[in-house]
Formats: sequence, C-alpha cells, structure tokens
Amino acid sequence: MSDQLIQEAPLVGIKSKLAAAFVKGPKDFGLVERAFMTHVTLRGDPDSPAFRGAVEEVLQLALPSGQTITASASGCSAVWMGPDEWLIQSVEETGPELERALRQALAGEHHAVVDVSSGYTVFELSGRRVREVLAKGCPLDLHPKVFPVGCSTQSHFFKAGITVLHIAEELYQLVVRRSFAEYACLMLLDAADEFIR
Amino acid sequence: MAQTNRIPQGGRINRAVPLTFHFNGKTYQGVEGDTLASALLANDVHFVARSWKYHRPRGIITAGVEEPNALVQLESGAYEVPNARATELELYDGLSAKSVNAKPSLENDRLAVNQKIARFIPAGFYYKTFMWPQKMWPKYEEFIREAAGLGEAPTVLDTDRYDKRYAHCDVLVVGGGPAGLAAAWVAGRAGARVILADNQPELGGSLLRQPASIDGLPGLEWVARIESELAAMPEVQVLRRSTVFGYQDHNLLTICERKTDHLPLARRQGVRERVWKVRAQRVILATGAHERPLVFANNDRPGVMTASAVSTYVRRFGVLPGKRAVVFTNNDQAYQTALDLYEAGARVTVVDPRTASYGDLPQQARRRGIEVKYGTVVSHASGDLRVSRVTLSRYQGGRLAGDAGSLDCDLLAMSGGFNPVLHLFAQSGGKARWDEQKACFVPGQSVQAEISAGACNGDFSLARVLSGAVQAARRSLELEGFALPRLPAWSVEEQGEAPLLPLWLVGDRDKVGRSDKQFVDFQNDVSAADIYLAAREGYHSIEHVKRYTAMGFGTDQGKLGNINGMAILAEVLGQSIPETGTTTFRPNFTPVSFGAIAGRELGDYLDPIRKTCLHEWHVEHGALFEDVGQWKRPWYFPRNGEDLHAAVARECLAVRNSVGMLDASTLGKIDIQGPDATTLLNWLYTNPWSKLEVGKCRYGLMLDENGMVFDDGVTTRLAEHHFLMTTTTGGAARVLNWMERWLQTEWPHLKVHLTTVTDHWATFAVAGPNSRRVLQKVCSDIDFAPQAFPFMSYRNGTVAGVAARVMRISFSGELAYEVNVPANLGRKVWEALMAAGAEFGITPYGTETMHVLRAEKGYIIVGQDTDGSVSPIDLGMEGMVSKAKDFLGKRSLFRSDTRRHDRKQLVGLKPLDPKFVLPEGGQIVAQPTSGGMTPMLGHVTSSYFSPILARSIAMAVMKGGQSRHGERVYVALRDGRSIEVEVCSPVFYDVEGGRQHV
Repeated sequence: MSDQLIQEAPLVGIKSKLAAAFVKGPKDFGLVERAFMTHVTLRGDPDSPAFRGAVEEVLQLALPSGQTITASASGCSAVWMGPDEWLIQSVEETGPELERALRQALAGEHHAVVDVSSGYTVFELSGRRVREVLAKGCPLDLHPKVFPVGCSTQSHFFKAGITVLHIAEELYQLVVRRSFAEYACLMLLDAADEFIR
Repeated sequence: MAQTNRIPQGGRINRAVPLTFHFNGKTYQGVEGDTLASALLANDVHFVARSWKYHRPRGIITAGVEEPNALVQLESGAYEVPNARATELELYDGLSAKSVNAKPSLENDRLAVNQKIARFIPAGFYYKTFMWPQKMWPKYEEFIREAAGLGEAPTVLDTDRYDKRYAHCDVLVVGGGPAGLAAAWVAGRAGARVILADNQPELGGSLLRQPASIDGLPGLEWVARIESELAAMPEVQVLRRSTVFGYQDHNLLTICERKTDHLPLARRQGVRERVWKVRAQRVILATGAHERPLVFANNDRPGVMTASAVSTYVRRFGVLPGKRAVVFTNNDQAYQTALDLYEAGARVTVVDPRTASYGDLPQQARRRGIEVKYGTVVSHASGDLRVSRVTLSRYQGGRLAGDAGSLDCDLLAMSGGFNPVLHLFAQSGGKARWDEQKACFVPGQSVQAEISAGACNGDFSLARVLSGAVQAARRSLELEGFALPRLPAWSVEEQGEAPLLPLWLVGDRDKVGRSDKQFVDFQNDVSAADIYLAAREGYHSIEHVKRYTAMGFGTDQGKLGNINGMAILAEVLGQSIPETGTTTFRPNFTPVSFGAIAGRELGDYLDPIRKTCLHEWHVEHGALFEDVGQWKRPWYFPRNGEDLHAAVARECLAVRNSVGMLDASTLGKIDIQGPDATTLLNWLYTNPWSKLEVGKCRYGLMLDENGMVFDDGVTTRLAEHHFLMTTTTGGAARVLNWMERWLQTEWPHLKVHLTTVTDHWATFAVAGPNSRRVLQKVCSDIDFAPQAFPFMSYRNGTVAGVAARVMRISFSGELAYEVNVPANLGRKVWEALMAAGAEFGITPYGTETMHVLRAEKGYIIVGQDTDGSVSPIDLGMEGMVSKAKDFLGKRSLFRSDTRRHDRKQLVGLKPLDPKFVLPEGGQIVAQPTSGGMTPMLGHVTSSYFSPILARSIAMAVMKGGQSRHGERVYVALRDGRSIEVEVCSPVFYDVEGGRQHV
C-alpha cells in the first residue's frame, strides 16, 4: 500500500477549513473524512444461487437483500444499493485486488464488477445532533424507528447524491461522489453551523 | 410616555420590563409580552394606517394574523420588513416601525384627498378610465402603483440567515389552542411522533383571551400542565412562533418558524427563520376561527375592532382600548367582550339585532347591569380619526326599521360570528361545506390524511372543542395502528348559548352605493357597493367578482372579509351562500419571506461546484476557471500577466509545436459490461460497433428520438464484453439516464450493466508531437511505437508507477494520448508527466486552448455547435450514419424536413479581415445590412483567433451551407457593421489529418 502515502483525498482543498470548523471538538456534531476506502460496485442477478454463492465465497459475507449492510469478519461490507446492485466496501483489500477476485469467481455469470474506489469518499458523522444536521438537506426519515443501525439508503443532501449508512447509535457514514465531496462537506458544515460554533 | 390605556394588573405581560419603541417617528413605551399593536393601543394610538386606495384613516381591527389594516414598514436597512402586521409583531426594545402607504406622514397623507373623490373611483374604475390613449398606460400605471400600494420593497441586501429542514412525524398538530393541545397530548401519550406547531409565542390559543375552567383548573393553568407534560414526551416536538403556511400534496406541510424576530436587533444571532418541510402520516388541523366584522357605514373608523380582539387586548395584554364602548353583536360570544370591558372599567352598551338572548353570557351581562339594546343595529359610525359616535337603527325582519338614537363611544367591538380557519383544509384539497345553523363554512370530506378539530371544525364550545380533539387524535392513532392510551375526559362546564342571527349587510340595500361606505374587505378598500356594482356589471362568479373588486387579494387574502362578501353577493344574486361558493384558498396562509424560501442555497451554495482531483494544482499554477456544467475547469493558465489572448496563443502553439497537457477528468465516463454491450452500443450510436476489436477506440454520435445530435464521445473496447464510454462533460448524467431509461423500460432483456466511473478516473490529455516521448519517459511497459500502438487504440500500462489506461485519441489533431488513472493518484501522475515533459516545455492548457485546437480541426462541441436541432447530416457526418443497422433516431433522419437541402449545415467561416474575430451568435446575412429586415442565413457557433494559422476562424451553421463553400456572405454586428466572410470547410488545419497518425 505504498500508494497510500501519495494518494490525495477528495477534501484536500478544504482540509484547513474542515479542521478549523471543529476547533472546539466534535461534541454535538463531528465530521471526519474516511478517505481511500475501497469501493467496488457489484451488479448481478440476486436470484441466481451461483452468483450469490460465488460472491459470498469471495467476500465471506451474506449479500444483503433489503436496505441493509452486511459485514465480514475481515472488514469487508456489502451495502444494498438496489435490487441487483451492491456497493462493496473494504479497508483491507485494494480495489483492483477485489475487482480481480470477484471477476474471477463470477466468470461465466452475467455480472459487472467495477472498482470505483477513487470515485467515492466517506464522511463519518457523529454526535447527538447528527440527524438534525442531515435533516437540513436530506428529505428521508432517518429516525431510528424507521432507519435503525445496520440500514442503508440512497438519498441526497441538498444537491449531492449520498448513500447513508447507519453504523451505530449516533454514528452515520455518507458515501459521496468524489467531485461532489467538497460541496457536500461545505453544506454539512453550514448545516451544522449552529451546533459547532 | 404614559400608557394611558394600560390596566393595572392581569394579562400575559410583564409590567416590570418596560420596552421603548418608535412608531412614525414618535417614541413610546410598552412592556414585555406586548405586540406592537397592543403597545400602541396601550398608548391610545388607534389611528395607525391609511387604506390602500382611498387613503382613509384606519385602526387596528384584530389581534392576529387576519389583520388587514395595521401593516407597518418594520426597521430599515438590512432588517427592513415591509407589510409586517403590528398585531403579530412581538415588541422588543428599540423596535422602529412606520405606517405604510402614507406620504409624507400618516397625519398629512398627500393622497388622503382620494377620500373626497371616492364616489368616482369605485371598483374597476381604472379599467374603464385609463384605457385611452393606450400609449399613456405606462404613465397611468406608474401613478396608480404609486397611489395604491402598501409597504416598500427593501433596497438593501438582507443579511439574516435563513434555513430549512425536513421533518417526519406520525401526527402533525396545527394550532396550539385547546384543541391542538388536547390532540397532541393524546397522540403523544400513545407514543406517536408528534409535531405541534403554533404561530404564537405562547401556547393556549383562545384560552389566552377567554376565561375557562377545565378539570377545575383555570384555562391557562390547564395549558401549563399540558405543556409541561408534552415537554416530557421525548417524541413530541412543540414549535412556537411557527406558522404552518402550506398544505401540499402527499401530506407535506410547510412551516415557517420565526426564531429571532422577537429579540432586539443587537441580540439576534443565528437563523432568523427556518422553513420546516414536514411529511406527516396524519394531520390534525386545530387552526381555530376568525371573527367576522359587521358591515355598516364607516365600519372602518379607527376604534372599530372585532370583539374577540378587544377581549384579547384586555385579557391577554392588559390594555383597555376604549373607555366608552359599544359592543355590536349578532351572537352570544361577544357578550364575554362586554363583560371583559366592564370588568376593566369601561362603560359598555351592547347592541344586538336579535329580539332577545337567554344564553348564559348575555344573562351574566344583564345581571351586571350592562345595558343591552335588542332588536337594534349600529347602522353608521362617525368620527374622523377615531370613532366618536354610532347611530343606531331598529332592526326588524332583516331590514332597518327606523331610527333608534345614537351613542357616544370611543370603541366599537363588533362580532358577526366566527369563520373556521379552513385555509389549510382547503389547500389539502378539501371542499368547504356551508353549515346553515352555525352560519359558517365548515370542513367537508377529507381528501388527504387529515382531520379538523376544535373551532376550525365549527365546534365553538370548549367542551366540544376538547372532546372533538380527543376523538380526532384517537382516529388518527387508530389509522396509524397505535395502541390507544387511556383517553382523557376533561370536564368543562357547558354554557348555554342562543343561536346567532346571520347579519351580512346592515345598511339599506337601496342606498348601498350612495351612503357612506360599508367596508367588506378593509385591505383592498372593497365596500358592499363595489360588490353590488360588480353584480350589476354582470360578474356573477365569485372568482370574477374577486378579480373585478380585488376582494380577497393582498397580504391578508381576505381572511376577514371574504365570507361577508360572498354572502352579500349571494343576496344580490338571489342565491344561497353555498351556491355562490368560496374563492380558492391558496398557499401561503400568511406571507413568507423570500429569505426563508431561498434558505441556504445562495451564492456558492446555490449549485454544487464540482472539482477534479487536480483543482488545487490548477489553483497553485494560476489557472483561471470556467464553469462547464457544475464543474470548474481551468480556462487558461496566464503567465507573467498575460491576457487571455496571449496565454491561449502560447498554449496552442505549445501543443502544435511540442507538447501540452489538459485536465480532461470532467469527461463523462460510463463502464459498460455484459454480453449485450455491443447490441446496446449499436442502438445508441449512429455507427456500427460489432466489429470493433478489443483494444480499439471509436468515436460515436448519439441522437435523440428526433434524429438530432445530443451527445458524442469516444468509446473503447476494453474486453470482449466490456466497454468504456466517454461523454461530454455536461452530458454525462443525461447520457447515463438515457441509457438506463432504454435498458430499464424498453430492453430489460439486454444483459448489460452500466456503472458511472466519471469520478473514479482522472483523465489527462497529453497532446502534441512530443507527447509520445513524454509518455515513454514515465511508462516502460507500453510499446509506444506508431505501429505497436496506433491511433484510436488503447493499452493498459503503468504510468509513473500507477496502473493506467492509455488511449491514443486526439481532440486537437495532434499526436495525443489520454492517460486515465484513479483520481486519488491523479495529482502524483500529473506531476510526474509535467516533470517528464519539462525538457519539451510541456505546457498545461485550459478549455479555451482546447476549443481553439479542435476548431482548427473542425471538431464540433455538442451544445455549442449543435443546439438540439442539428442532425449528423447537417454536420456533414453522414458517413458516420450506418445504413445497415437500426439505431435510436434513425427513422427521424428520413423525414422530409430532415432531408431538406436548405437546412442549416455546419460550415467554416473565414473573415476577409484575418484579424477580426467574429462574435459567437452573430447572424449570417447575404448582403450588408443597416438594421432593416434581412433574411437570416444562419449564425456563428464558434469563433477564435487561430495562432497556428495566424488568422481568425469560425464555425457556423448556415442554410444549405455545405454547397456554398467559397461564397462570400456577411455577419451582422450589433453596432450595425457587417463583416464580410468566406464560407469554407470547417476543417482549417491539417486537412489530410496526418499529424495525429504520426
């Protein structure tokens, strides 16, 4: 992972702005960029046992079939994006490695596996005000009754598409497209203005 | 200054905190808890406004949102608010306001003279009067707008912060009066997620002005108890100072929460107003009722108020608005006002058109010795700037029946009954139903998931309000599947009440146009006579009468007067009120500031600003940026104070003579996988794809259904069933949507998956005769030899240590490569290429140079040289249109219009003056023109100075242009000049195309 040292995160342009926003610490609302996570888009027939079997063998997890997230013991997770689409996240393997492994396992099955690691970044949002901040730009109901821990959904925050993952009680992840990351981050900071000042 | 009308004790105010405020330049004192209206009344200021059209003196009529008169221009500069309602403005220290529509001052209003000519300017007069001469209309309009108007738009930018949020709940309760509180409490107890929104700073609604006893507690103590219990329920949210202003489809309700308006300017911080967009499973409307005025002559004199407003000022604000009061009512409720006034020390006479009333309140009033004149009406009010006397008439059989003397007074409290506030119900799609017994419109069938409760449902007794609210909550909970809590049975003493006597127009019908005006709509100066006139002139639909008279327009939208107006129209037309119907209730319930509607999406936050992974590098190297769609792209990189022209010339020549590099990461990129990928491409593009070899690239044109070009780009075959498509920067999302639409709706059987990889890959165009040598320095695992890696092919390799896809394609006509690497590593690779190219003078270039280079080669830019009406044939690209296969848009290419030979076709233009650069958009004409009508042959689409050719060049679309090469035509300029140009091929440079093949 020597690339790690020379990779550049999507939020590079507002690094100092982001640091300055939390000088008082992320008490009610915190935002951290988890850059360089591996993201692979997986498409395939959810009803094909061969497809599921091959994927689950490689990833060591059960592919989710609702708006949920499943995870393997080795730090790999699968996010349901639609009836025949998943976003595979990993912190262990690189995108090209995962892409190669999945393609090999799925040879002969109609599928698509695409490394999009550089295409997305992840914001980790925390704190007791996090849902209020999200409510400023995301029209979905994220109340824990409706969207408990372990759920995922695609939505938008103002005009940026987002995938929301409910990781823990007051901890959410947003998967954001690289080119929208700075905008989405600035909108989040602006929405959180009253909680981080 | 003394608050002469302040009652020594009582009310929801804090006399220990005096507040100073300024109105029309004078300084007054109020106290904490006052509104501007109550503070003015405390200082015995009734005359606060001039009316819209006649400039009559006007006073405060109400104590709430329905106020038509007491509109003020609040504050100035960045905090200026036009048409604020004094009845809703919470007083703060230092508040400054002035009357609207009065110049130079309220007392000396220049246009007060309009009162004298009022007879001659009834409804519709200007439609008839100002019609000729027609060309004078703009002058007339200026005068009318000056004369008739309300507040003035602020001229300084609003510095306040506004925002919005979404919210979701099981039950949204609108209104914090007894009904709303009861319903919210029941729903909250069931564990439902509840939002209660109330437009006042304090909960309680009508209980703030009415004595009541609930479960043996005084009304406001019950309110306090409910309020504290609601506060303890974690899923209940109470929004004060929050007006639900719209009921939209799918139970989306919009609320404006005012967060800082009640504070002195210096203490305001953070968000001023927040718009809540609430998706509610169920809505309980508990919006209360507005009292109706009575329609008699001069009923607009300052000092004439609705009875409930008078009670509000006495009981809630501790202000006695007059000492010698007449209460004119057709119902029992207003007797409470008589009692309130009496207890506060006023002399009171009640005037009641009914023959008698044995309800509890009238009996109480009579027991206290309050004089009641039954069978009597107030037919006329006198007094100039304040009511001073009312004339009474006997009232029999719905007609005036002779003089009944007069009364001196300084306050007239009037009550014509109550109108349920149906605005939100009506906005939800519901139709109002006329209740003959209650003489008011009540909610009919629900259309959306809502229930009305309390006074807005036509329940005017407290016992029925509470029981109705409990039932509304119960029904909502049942429908949402909640287990019911134990339902409360709050005990309230029922009061006996006699029925009201509908009274829509007091005065004589036959004198309606000749006596003093009897106002129906105060804000728009619409009198009963105007409605009569409208009916005489043939306007019978209530919607037409509204437009003819202006009744129901304005900031109050007819909250006070509309029902009276409809009833009067019904009587004139000899039809019933339900036959006459109501006008449409539209959002917004009360005006909403532009700031709140804009929220935070202002300036840089209006739209996403998308940046490539090299953005910071570009900034560091002095790039100026151009907006392309949402992207920021480097436009050019000036050095040492170069202007655009000089920088672009340098960048262009670097590419033509050595090597340059462009950040092309914004190009749309779509990964296409599956056995049917070629089938899909064959449908999408005009040219065939089946035979494209793996490792090869091909340019494609995409047409819409009309056969018009809508995107283009190069697609590469990465593997047998795997392609990478590129689209235009601005077209990426549109193309992906287009492809998914066809796949999902028409061709679901195709086995192919699309994935957007625009953001994943950073793309650099390395262009120029030295580009090969640059790449060879940083990439050792690709053979760059011309035969090994020919034009329009692709190789995988390692560039500067990073796995890369390298395509040999060119948008400049030079030997060129596109290097694709993951964006997280983009800057590293870019910098390595810059370092490797240093010895060749590698030059970063921007979009302007890219445009010039491609124009020299006659390459189109979709969206610049095309506009959605240009076919491939028009572009001279018929060779790219397959005859052998079908594709989207093909059939349209055979329509007679598409085959016309005189369609606008792509051409090149060379100005005879080689230094003159034509303006893009310039019109092509056959002969020099000096402003007369001339047939237009086409227009310039792209125009530049070409440094390599040392002359100006342009691309254009021109009627029949392909057969007119060599002709001379003219381009007309805005300044009247005509520039002679030669029509030519759009390929200006390296016509044989040898340079990109080297």
